[in-house]
Amino acid sequence: MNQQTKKIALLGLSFSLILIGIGLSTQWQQTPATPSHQTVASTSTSVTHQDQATTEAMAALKTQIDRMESDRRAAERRTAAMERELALLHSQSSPTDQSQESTESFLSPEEELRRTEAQSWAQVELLEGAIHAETADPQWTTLAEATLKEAFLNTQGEDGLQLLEASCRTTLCRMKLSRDESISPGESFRQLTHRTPWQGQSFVRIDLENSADIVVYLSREGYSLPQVTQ
Amino acid sequence: MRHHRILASVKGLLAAVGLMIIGVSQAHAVDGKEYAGSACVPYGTNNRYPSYNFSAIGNPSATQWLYLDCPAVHDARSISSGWVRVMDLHYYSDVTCSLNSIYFSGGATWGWGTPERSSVGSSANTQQLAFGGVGASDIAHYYYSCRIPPTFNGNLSYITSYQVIEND
Repeated sequence: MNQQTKKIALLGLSFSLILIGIGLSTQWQQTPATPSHQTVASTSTSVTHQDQATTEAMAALKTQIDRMESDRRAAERRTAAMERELALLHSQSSPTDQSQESTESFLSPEEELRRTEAQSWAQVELLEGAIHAETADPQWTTLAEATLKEAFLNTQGEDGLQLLEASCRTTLCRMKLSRDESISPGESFRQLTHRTPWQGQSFVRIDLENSADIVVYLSREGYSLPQVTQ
Repeated sequence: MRHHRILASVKGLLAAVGLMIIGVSQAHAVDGKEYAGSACVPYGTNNRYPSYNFSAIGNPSATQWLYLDCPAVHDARSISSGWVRVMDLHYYSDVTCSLNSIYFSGGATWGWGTPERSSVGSSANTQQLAFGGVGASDIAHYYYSCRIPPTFNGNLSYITSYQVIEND
C-alpha cells in the first residue's frame, strides 16, 4: 500500500490537475464569448427599450394624426354649416327689396316689358274692381257724370275726342273715348288733361292701333287712385 | 319687480329710438330735383322759338301760344309731389301745366296724369303751381306738359323752374 498507493494518488491528483487545467483553459477560451452574450443581452434590452419608445412615439404620432383628422372633419362640418347658413340667408333675403332690386337689374328688356304690361293690366283690374265695389253716391255720381259729359261733349269736332261713356261711383269715374284719326295719341292725351273738369288723379290707356279705344280712370277731387304695388 | 320695470322702460326707450331712426330714414326717402325752365322742350308746329332769360323759358310771340314738355328724371318709385314756378304777365290768359308719367307697353300708351293747374291773374312775381302724387311704372318717364300764353303789351310770360319729388 505504501509505495503503490502513493503513486496512484499522485497520478489521480495529476490527472485532476490536468482536468482542472483543461477546464480552466476552456473557461478562459470561452471568456470573450461571455461579454458578447452580455452585449447581446444588453443590446436586446436596449432594442426592447427603443422599440417601446418607438411604439410610444408612433402611438403619440397616431394620436396626433387622429386629432388633426378630427379637427379637419370638424372644420369641414363648420364650413358646411356656414355654407348652409349663407344659402339660407341668401334665400331668405330673396323676397326683400334688395333682391328685388337685383332681380330688376337682371331683367332683360323683353322681360321688363312683359312685366310692365302685366302690371298695367293688373292696375286696370284693380281700378275695375274698385269701381264695381263702390256704390253710387247720390250727392256726387250724377253730377260728376254730367260734368264729364259736358266737358268732353264740348270738344266733339273741335279736339278730335268723343266721349263714348262715362260712369262714376263714390270716388272713381271711368270714361271711354275715341279719337279721330286726325289727332295723335299724344295730342289726345293732352286734350284729356286739358279737358278734365276737376283736380283728380287719372290713369289712362290709349290704344295705339285702335283709335276708338281710350279708357280713362279719374279719381274724385281729394281722393287718390288705388295703385298696384310694384 | 322693480328690476323688471326698469328693464321694460329701457326696452321701450330703445324701441322708441329705433322707431324714430326708422321714421327719420323714411322721411328722408324722397328725392327732389329742380330744373331750370330752359330744360323744357317746345313742341307743335306754330311756335317753336322760345325766349330765354336767366334760363327761364318764355314765349316771345304776340299771337301764338308756346307749348312745352318739361322732362324730369325718374330714378325712384313714383312722384310724391312737384311744382312749376311761372311768371304770368298776361292780363287774362294763364300759364298752365299738368304733370304726367307715361310709358309705352303692349301696343298702347299708358299714363298717370294730373289735371292742369293754371296761374292766377297777372304779376311780375313768380307763382308756384303745386302738384300732388302721380303713379308710375318702372319704365315710365316724367314730364310737365305746359303752355305759355302770348305776350301782353309786349310783356313775356315765363316758366322759371320746376321740380319733381319722388318717393322710394
